[in-house]
Amino acid sequence: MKDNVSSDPIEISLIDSVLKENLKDLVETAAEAGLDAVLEQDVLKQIPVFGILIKIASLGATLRDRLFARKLLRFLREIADIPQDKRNEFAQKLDSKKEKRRAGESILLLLERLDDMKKPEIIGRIVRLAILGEIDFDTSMKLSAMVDRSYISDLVLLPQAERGKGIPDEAAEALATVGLLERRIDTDVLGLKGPCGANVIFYNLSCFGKSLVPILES
Amino acid sequence: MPAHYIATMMASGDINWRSKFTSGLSNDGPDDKRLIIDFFGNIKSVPWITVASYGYVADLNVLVDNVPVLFDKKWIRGKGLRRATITSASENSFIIEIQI
Repeated sequence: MKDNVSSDPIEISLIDSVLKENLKDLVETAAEAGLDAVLEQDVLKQIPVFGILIKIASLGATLRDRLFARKLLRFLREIADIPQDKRNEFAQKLDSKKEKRRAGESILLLLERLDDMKKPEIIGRIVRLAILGEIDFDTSMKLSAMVDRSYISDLVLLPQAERGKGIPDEAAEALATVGLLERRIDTDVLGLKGPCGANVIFYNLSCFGKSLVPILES
Repeated sequence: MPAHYIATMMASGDINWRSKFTSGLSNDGPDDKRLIIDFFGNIKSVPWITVASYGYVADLNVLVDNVPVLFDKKWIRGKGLRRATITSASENSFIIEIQI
């Protein structure tokens, strides 16, 4: 069987992977077989970015490679069922090779850094919105960077940030530091957090936090 | 129009409740989804208002349990914690606006 390996750099091959017509079938096959088994087979090579990684980096040789491959697969799984015309439109917006390369590079750098296997799915859902045209690509990368910089245990609390009793102050402060919450300094007129009239910090969702809540809940 | 009540804490600690403005209130509650309480007394001892990470909240379930005569109504029962804004505060006098 002829290897389906692109001569384009790996960054562009990621965008080509997003455009791959039978991406959903390939990703589902890989997911069902289990990545470790599928790395030994040809199915992944049909996805351009994996084709390059397997050829140039002997993907799967190290634990780090295997984890990266899992992240990529989880990311691609979230966008694999987007209608082909929407994916083509997205690629047309990244009209120049330079733009494609920049977009692919941003996503690969992010995925490589991620410290939790839930995050590639979240970033897949964010990039999915960019492909569907619901947010612009730069916003999707800003949101993704915030996900990258958050502890997953804090991140999963975000949907509760403005509901019920809210979230613990430590988690709120960490999420504010990455930009998902905004700090609001107020006067504790009821004295329920300390001395009456003292300053108190409340945490509200930032515009990025508001965008991320439905993604985390989907 | 909002549903508007007055709560006055007595020396005994009991709270005297009465309606300030509820005329035309239907079974669905206030059309602007606002419940306003003018409170006079020691707010710290009131069990239905507390503080969350994002601001003050009123526990409407506790309010229903404490004052069923006024608040055990379809439009408020089971609503749980809701954001509360203190629109006016002085020593022992507060106006609390609750989004229901």
